[in-house]
Amino acid sequence: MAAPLGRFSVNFLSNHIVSGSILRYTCPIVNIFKRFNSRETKKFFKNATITQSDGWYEVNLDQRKLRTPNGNLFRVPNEALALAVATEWNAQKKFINRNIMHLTSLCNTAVDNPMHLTRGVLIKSILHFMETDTVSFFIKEPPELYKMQKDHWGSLIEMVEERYDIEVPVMEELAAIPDLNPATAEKLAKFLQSQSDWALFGYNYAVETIKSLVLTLGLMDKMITVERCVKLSRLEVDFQIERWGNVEWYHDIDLYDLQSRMSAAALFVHWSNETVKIKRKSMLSSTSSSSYVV
Amino acid sequence: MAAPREMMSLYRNILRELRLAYPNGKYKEAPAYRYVKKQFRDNKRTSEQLCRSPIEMAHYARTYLCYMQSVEKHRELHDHYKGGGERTVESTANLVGLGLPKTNH
Repeated sequence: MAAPLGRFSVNFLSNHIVSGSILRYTCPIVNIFKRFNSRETKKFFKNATITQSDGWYEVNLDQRKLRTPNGNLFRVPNEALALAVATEWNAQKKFINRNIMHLTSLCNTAVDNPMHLTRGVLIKSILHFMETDTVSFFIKEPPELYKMQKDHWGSLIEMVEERYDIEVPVMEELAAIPDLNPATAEKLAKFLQSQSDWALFGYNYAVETIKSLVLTLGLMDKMITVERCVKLSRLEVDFQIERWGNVEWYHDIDLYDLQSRMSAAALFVHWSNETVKIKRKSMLSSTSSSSYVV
Repeated sequence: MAAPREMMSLYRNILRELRLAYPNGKYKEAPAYRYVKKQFRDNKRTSEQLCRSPIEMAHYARTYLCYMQSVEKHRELHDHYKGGGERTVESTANLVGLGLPKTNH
């Protein structure tokens, strides 16, 4: 038997392999340093509410109007979206954690457009993911994984192909990646053109999160739920988890992170498309003004 | 068509999440509370007339519930496993017996 490791006995180590919670034991020592880390902002308001002004909805933190990171006034075209953002702010506990306020982040991106993206650039960026879509790559070994992919991805790919009249590229070998079928690219571009400016930000965020346009389309079209969408994107991971076990502080955090982001994107796109008002604003184009359907 | 029982369960679960976000029973003052209540009540009334909306509404209710639950679970796990964060530069220097140079601030 190896020399005793004191606190870290063999039993403890075997518990670790089962529960993956070694950090729980090191926390008490490391926590002393937390009070020197003053990077977190305290919750500086009591109540977040919404107000309406000129057809837009704003969020008020106590008496002050919420602003975006670039200093613009935070305003959204949809009441439900504003309410959800206010709820996000009210749900913060002692410290403000902006990393998990995905709806607020999406709205900030849409209002500020810090990268000065145009509709064309956004659509191109979204379509680009189709070429290396997560569900495009089937792996023949091991056969159980291949079967899992065929079973789960197969029906969704068919539904999406039928709904948009496109051809999803499917590859089973690591050969050169072919270019996107031009007819497919054109039909998808046309579909994306019909989305509002804000919805395009939502689509871009969604495809970047799960690296798949097919899964995003399935979710936005209500073919699948958020949970199923994320499950489909993590098929290989689930396969490995079944074989080797689940590591809570990696797998579960990743799962809930993907689910929060995708559900935020789905709600954001839906609420952005819901209001049907025509506004004249200069947004997403370098020319002085252009109208868009909100 | 979403079964009435599922709608009830979605409604209850969304309210539960709101209750977690607003402790001390203040969730009734939450801006979202009245809206959620109205949506579910309207949906119940008109579910016979309109075919499309109840399915949509159930989907978005499920999505919003998933959002709130995932954010909460993520936050819980993160708080549980995050440890104390990084050491400051000063404490790192102190580890090896060094001090930071004096600056003119």
